[in-house]
Amino acid sequence: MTADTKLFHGGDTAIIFSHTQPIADDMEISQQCNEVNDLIISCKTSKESLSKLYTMFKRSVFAIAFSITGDYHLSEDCVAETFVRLTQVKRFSAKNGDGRGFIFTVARNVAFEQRRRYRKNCVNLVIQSYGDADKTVEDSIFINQLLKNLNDKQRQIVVLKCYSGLTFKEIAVIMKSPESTIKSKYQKAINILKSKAGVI
Amino acid sequence: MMKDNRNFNSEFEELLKGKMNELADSVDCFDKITKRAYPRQDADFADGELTVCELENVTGKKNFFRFMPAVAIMTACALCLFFLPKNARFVDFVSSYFGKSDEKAYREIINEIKEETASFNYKTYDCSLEEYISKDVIITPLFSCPFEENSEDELSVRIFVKMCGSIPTNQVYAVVYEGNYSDGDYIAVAESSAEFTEKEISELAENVTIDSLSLPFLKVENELIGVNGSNFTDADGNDITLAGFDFNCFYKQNDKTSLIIGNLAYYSINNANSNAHYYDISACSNYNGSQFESFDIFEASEIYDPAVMWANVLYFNGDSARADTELSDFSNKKLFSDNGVTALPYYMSPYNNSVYTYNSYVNTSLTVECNYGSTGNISTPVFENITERFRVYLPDATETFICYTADGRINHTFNQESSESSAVSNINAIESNCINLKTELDIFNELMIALEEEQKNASDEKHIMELQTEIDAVMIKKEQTEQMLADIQWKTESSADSVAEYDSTYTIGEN
Repeated sequence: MTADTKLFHGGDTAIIFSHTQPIADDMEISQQCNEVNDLIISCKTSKESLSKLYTMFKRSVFAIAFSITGDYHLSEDCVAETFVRLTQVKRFSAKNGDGRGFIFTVARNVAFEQRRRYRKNCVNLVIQSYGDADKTVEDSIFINQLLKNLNDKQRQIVVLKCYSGLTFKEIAVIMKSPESTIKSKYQKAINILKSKAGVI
Repeated sequence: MMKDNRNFNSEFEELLKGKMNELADSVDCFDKITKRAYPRQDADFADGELTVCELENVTGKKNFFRFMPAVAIMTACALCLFFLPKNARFVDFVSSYFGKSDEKAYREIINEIKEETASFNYKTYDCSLEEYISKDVIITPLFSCPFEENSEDELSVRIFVKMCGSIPTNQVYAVVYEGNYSDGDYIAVAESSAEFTEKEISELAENVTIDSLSLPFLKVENELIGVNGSNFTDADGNDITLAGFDFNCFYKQNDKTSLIIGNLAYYSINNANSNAHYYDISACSNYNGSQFESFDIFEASEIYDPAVMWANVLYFNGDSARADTELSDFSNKKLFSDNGVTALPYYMSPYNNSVYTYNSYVNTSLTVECNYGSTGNISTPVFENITERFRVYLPDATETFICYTADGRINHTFNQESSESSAVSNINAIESNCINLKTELDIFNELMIALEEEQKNASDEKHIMELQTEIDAVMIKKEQTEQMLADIQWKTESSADSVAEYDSTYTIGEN
């Protein structure tokens, strides 16, 4: 062999274990998580706690339910069922639990149950209920027409990201998928929605 | 361009969010929730929970026939499942008598896989179809995923790579299956264009040894990869996380066989909303099938052509399973220089020199955090032989970088201020691992004492046998841990010698 080659590296040797210190933003997020956890524990007996949870999460829970059922009134029922179930939770650890993730997981499960139960009434999105007021109908149709271009998983990821404000990491835990897969599906879904909405 | 795309994304997200919020705000069901969550004790029949269906059966007569439809359906399903399994095996069996020519092609590939894997040395790898589609380049560097997407089912892929000694070839098969792997029970199959005969394999094995090869590192272009403080940047100025690995392969194309020594570099954009990655492959060969010559350098396009890689990609019914569109998260982008051979940037190997086994720590992506820069998330290879060589490149040897997986089990801090501190860090890593293993040993010892004590006091023979089984299992784990500890202690002694040698031979950051 005549080629002159050089082998150089410098990084294999220094590997140590360490713990990172939480930064200020992380502590604030941690406090919010603790607040949600405490509300979940106390909402069993406290209407005020339930009211706070309802105010904080109604929008996100509705969005998740709507993305799965595509039906306004069914989604409304899902919202009600989700918060009722929160008052019936038996095992939830305030120290280790992820309250937000827990609520969204319950919302997803409820939505799937309701959709299975009323599947025969929801053959296609066109005949589903859209609400009562004109604005509600208009918004429902707009969202439904967009979301129907996505498959189940893409729809859920878009809703969890856009409406519930979760990070990709948190979504990965809820949907039991790797984070990179979630990001990949999200980008594909957004591109589809943008092309259908005429943005690109 | 990436920043414009991000603005579009966030504007669009805001539009969607606004619409959904308007819809959600019209929902007001709190009263309904509180009525159900906190029911009153003195509920009258107006709020009662009796439903119409329950009232209809108020006489209490039992209706046996209401279950008949369900029973009939279940019986029919059981008969269908038992007598008519519509899986690949069934179709394969029927097709052997009544099959079309396309199904025959599928069966031929299945038979070829069976014969090949029985007669030659093959290495097999398994991963999910989803993962293979999205990061094919870092799973099989010279092959794209041949299969189209299937988002409805949880499918897996098994990849068979023909080996020549310890070096892989580019004769590859891939099969898609559902659930647990079962020989021949595939949803789709793919075979590579390249084929190596038995004679070719034995000639290659005789003429080429891995010792005769050395691996040249190719310089990443300065114009294409820049540095911004403690982070690399791409051509658009975005902070990126840069990683890569080397690989080798006997590569056959158009009846010419070369021994490829390849280098794959790839990057992801930090804090991006997508999992887009950009890669480049540069490869050298100094063996043309008969003798060693000076190096030829290949570009990615010369050795990575999806159109010619896979000869056939078929479903079990003979239909084409070939992907129509490019679904990978990885796009090709020029990263390597044409100018020759110099060193790559400084790097660390987070999965090398670790006491953990492959299955216990490798994750699908790694987060790399710099204490004075931005954080990035980069996909990692799946298979062990590549993962061991996986590197994360670092532009600044004086900063602290932390690499960790999503589940937080592994944290690697890399700090290389001087060659002295690197030596100390190395020893500390080993000592830290020893402490963990010694703690495990203490736990095992305590557990054995407790089990033996319980066994002594037990009177029931069955219970004594069960305890003995547990004691044996703990003993095996204890022995394994002792062996691991002994290995590390041996490494400590030998690395202490090599660190001193390293210190005198190399200077950090030298090109």
